[in-house]
Amino acid sequence: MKIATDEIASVIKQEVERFGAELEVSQVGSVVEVGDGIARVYGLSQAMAGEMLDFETQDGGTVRGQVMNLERDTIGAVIFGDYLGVREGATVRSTGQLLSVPVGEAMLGRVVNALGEPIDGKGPIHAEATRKVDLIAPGIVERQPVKQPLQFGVKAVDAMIPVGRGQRELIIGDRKTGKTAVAVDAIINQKHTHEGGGDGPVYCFYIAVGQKESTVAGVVEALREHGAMDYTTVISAGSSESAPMQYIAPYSGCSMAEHFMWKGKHALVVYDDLSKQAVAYRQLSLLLRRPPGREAYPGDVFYLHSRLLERATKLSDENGGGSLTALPIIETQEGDVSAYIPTNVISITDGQIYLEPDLFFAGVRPAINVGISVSRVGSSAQIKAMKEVAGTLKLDLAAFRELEAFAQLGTDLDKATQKQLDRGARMVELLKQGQYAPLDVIDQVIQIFAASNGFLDTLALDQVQDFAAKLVEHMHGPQRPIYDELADKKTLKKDGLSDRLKEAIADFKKTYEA
Amino acid sequence: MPATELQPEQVEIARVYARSLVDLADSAGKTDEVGDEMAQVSELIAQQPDLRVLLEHPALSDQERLDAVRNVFTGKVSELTMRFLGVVGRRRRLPALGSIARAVTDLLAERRGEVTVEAVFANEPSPERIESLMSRMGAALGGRSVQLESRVDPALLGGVRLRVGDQLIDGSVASALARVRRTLAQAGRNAGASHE
Repeated sequence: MKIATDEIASVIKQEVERFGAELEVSQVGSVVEVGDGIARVYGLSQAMAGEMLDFETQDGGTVRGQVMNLERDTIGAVIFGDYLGVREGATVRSTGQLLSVPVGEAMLGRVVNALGEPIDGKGPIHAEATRKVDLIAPGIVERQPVKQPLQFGVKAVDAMIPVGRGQRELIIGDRKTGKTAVAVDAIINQKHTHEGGGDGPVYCFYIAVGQKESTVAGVVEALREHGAMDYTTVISAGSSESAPMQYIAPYSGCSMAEHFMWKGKHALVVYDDLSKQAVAYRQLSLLLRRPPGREAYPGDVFYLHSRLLERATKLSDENGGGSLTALPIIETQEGDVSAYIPTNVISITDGQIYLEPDLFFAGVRPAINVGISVSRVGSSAQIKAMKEVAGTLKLDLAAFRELEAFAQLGTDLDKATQKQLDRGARMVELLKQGQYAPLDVIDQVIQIFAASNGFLDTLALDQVQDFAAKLVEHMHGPQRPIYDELADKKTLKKDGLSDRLKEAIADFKKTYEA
Repeated sequence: MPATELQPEQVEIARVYARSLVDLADSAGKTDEVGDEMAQVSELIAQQPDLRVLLEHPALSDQERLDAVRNVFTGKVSELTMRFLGVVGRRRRLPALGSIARAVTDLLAERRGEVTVEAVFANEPSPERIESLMSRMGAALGGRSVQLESRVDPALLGGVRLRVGDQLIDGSVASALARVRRTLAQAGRNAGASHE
């Protein structure tokens, strides 16, 4: 880094001229007690709720804090960062400002903490602007309905649980069921939007709350390996960070994403995960002596999540038409979705992707239970061709699961039932997908089209994946014109495209079987 | 001010006791006398760590505490104050005595329209300087009479730091230097950004 000496000289000159003439007038209080990231401060009678504070530390530095409780003679405050240097009796200054974080293009590709400070060892961030962390979500007039698809690149999601730009889709499941994997796949799949595909580039924000540092490092590495870090910011408040940092991290990340949204761009935010944020908030609420409620969570734990997720928006065209899609993640205990936090977040979001350990261990990965996973935005977030091929997929799979239960009884089955069972088994097989292997939406349409038209029925189960992969290769190669036409028109119903596609697949199947 | 005197619960309790004592002193016409005595009690507690320990030690019984306080103050304070100490002791509030004494002095100062200004100087100030500071502060605070609690802290390097209630007016060289340092660091960062 080079330093412009003339610039610094001018600053020094200005400072020297003003030296002594300037008085610093501020509101101060003193710390009565401090511990666990919480401080009680005597004085500061003019302090406002949510205001930033500067705590003096033992070594003469300062740490930031925020006013949480206003009481008669004291205020309850949280401390962001290292609270061990703050001692009883230390001076606390009010700043008259609200907490804000750096935002802008400079944040992309970086790993930062909850305050937007870099923690990836790549030097300081020269952000173009700052934005307040806790902002009110846009109102009705500023929005429009969700209508553009946000492609996950995961067949099971894009076909049956379509997510639109500006939607809030919950990813819920037990530990070790691949929740993060689904979200990371969605981030990696946004690469095509930065290469001219889709409805404009999607900038991604991965917010890790209460995660192991090693897990976060793994995610960052995966993103970097797949070229996704170029358009992604990782905000990490690991499990070793104090509760206030974990509590504030989702809001910081949301603000960074909102900056893009208000510039008419698209953002995708993954909150991994909100159950840990709720636990951090419970901790600091109890330490602030706020009364506990159900499961010892404070009374405003619903508002904690609703005000965060309400900030996911599809803005109206007058406001630039930007969007912020939120993918909150919730970890359940033993599949219990009726616990306090899961029910809260389920009721806030526009649908959920439910992951099950049983499916995961049966080899169905991603382990999405399509029966109870829904997207309330529905097919308005799908391209036409996908709507056409996936329309009945969900019902077919439901019927298959019902029959499957019967078939296990070992009764003799009639031909039609057997056929339905075969079709279902191949569908399930087709929907399996490797990690970090997102699939383009047109490729997905071709594969699902082949399956729902019975081309897979005569194949052995272990051939399904191979056939589907080679079919896509074939469509990209010799049958490129049909592929391009489909990608262009985005529907199968015009100009007999559907028949020509069938023909092409039938031809390919002959050579495949030969 | 020791931090235990700032515990909100204690401050609350101290206010109640202080108000009742001041009211009683008013009706007996001994406000100034009681005020002086409580100021002395406050000072004594602040200067005698042993007395603080005696008042706050959890292993002592309330009776022992009360006896000790009686021994210390009998004959040295007026009858009203003595009786007040007895009530505080019987109500088991002696650990809060420091807060109560301070609350009494604060209450009386407030009534007299006095403001306490804490001033920290870099070196021993001359009497003229204190005089001019006090008169100027008094004018700035709308003509109220100013009580100056001054202290010397060489770490300030120069200038003065004043505190009135929650308001801090910092005219010290040390904080001006800290401000220059912050501005320079900021300018350095911005310059780095534009030359990268």
